[in-house]
Amino acid sequence: MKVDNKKLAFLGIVSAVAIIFGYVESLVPVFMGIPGVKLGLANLAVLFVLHRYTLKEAAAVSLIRILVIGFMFGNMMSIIYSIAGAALSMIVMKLMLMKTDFSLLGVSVAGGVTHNIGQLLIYMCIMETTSLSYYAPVLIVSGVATGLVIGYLTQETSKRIHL
Amino acid sequence: MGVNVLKKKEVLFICIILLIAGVWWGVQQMQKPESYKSVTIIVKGEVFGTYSLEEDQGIEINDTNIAEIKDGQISMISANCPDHLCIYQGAFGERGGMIVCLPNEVIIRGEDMTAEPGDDGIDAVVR
Repeated sequence: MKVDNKKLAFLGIVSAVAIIFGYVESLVPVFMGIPGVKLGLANLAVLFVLHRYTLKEAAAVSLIRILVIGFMFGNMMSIIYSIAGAALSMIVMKLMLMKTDFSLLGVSVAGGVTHNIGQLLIYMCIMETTSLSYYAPVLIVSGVATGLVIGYLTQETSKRIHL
Repeated sequence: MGVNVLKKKEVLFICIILLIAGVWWGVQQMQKPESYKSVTIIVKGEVFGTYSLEEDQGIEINDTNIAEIKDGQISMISANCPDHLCIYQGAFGERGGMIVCLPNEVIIRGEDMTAEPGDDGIDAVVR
């Protein structure tokens, strides 16, 4: 098996950047006035890798980020929440990249919304209550907003990084 | 690619998503009672207690969180979780709302006391 050293090094850097993004965001608990809503900067790294490589590489970067951030700042539960949202959004974004001619903006919006919905569903399962669906509208709207920002940033990043 | 513009399809896609959120919100608003007289605290999926918003009180929720009712508004004033998001969520009163502490699995939500389950909303008619 031939190992692509350049790719390996690049994915390492991207994972490190994703971890730093996650840390920076954890310092800002209230974003856009809604507690718990985050920009999801780490999604920039994931979408970038997904766009450039395949689902496998993106999943690796995402998993490394979630585990490192989880062990440093969270707990077992926060790791489970994160994986649920990240996995759902990554699969949806991959499907959108394959099956539609959407730009990174549209793909990122779909990713942002499904990320939030995935986390909400997991919260509802763990807390055994449907009353959390109260938050669904605000999470959908914030998913669209953050998705647009992240999609734009990913497009700009992709234009500037050539391998 | 090269320009950061949304395709028509993408604009439509985003509009549909926002429409779903809007309709969802609208339905929620219509189902919601005019005013809430009390709040229910749910811990790990089970009802911990129901408290009137009309009397000022401090509520210790197990050993993890402390909520406070003051001037008809409830807020979380203390929590042992690392992020303290439940405290940042602020207060809500008779207009309803929700405070959630995910790490401790605590939910505080408005409760409509005038409409008990199996009750038509009228407690008694006095002539």
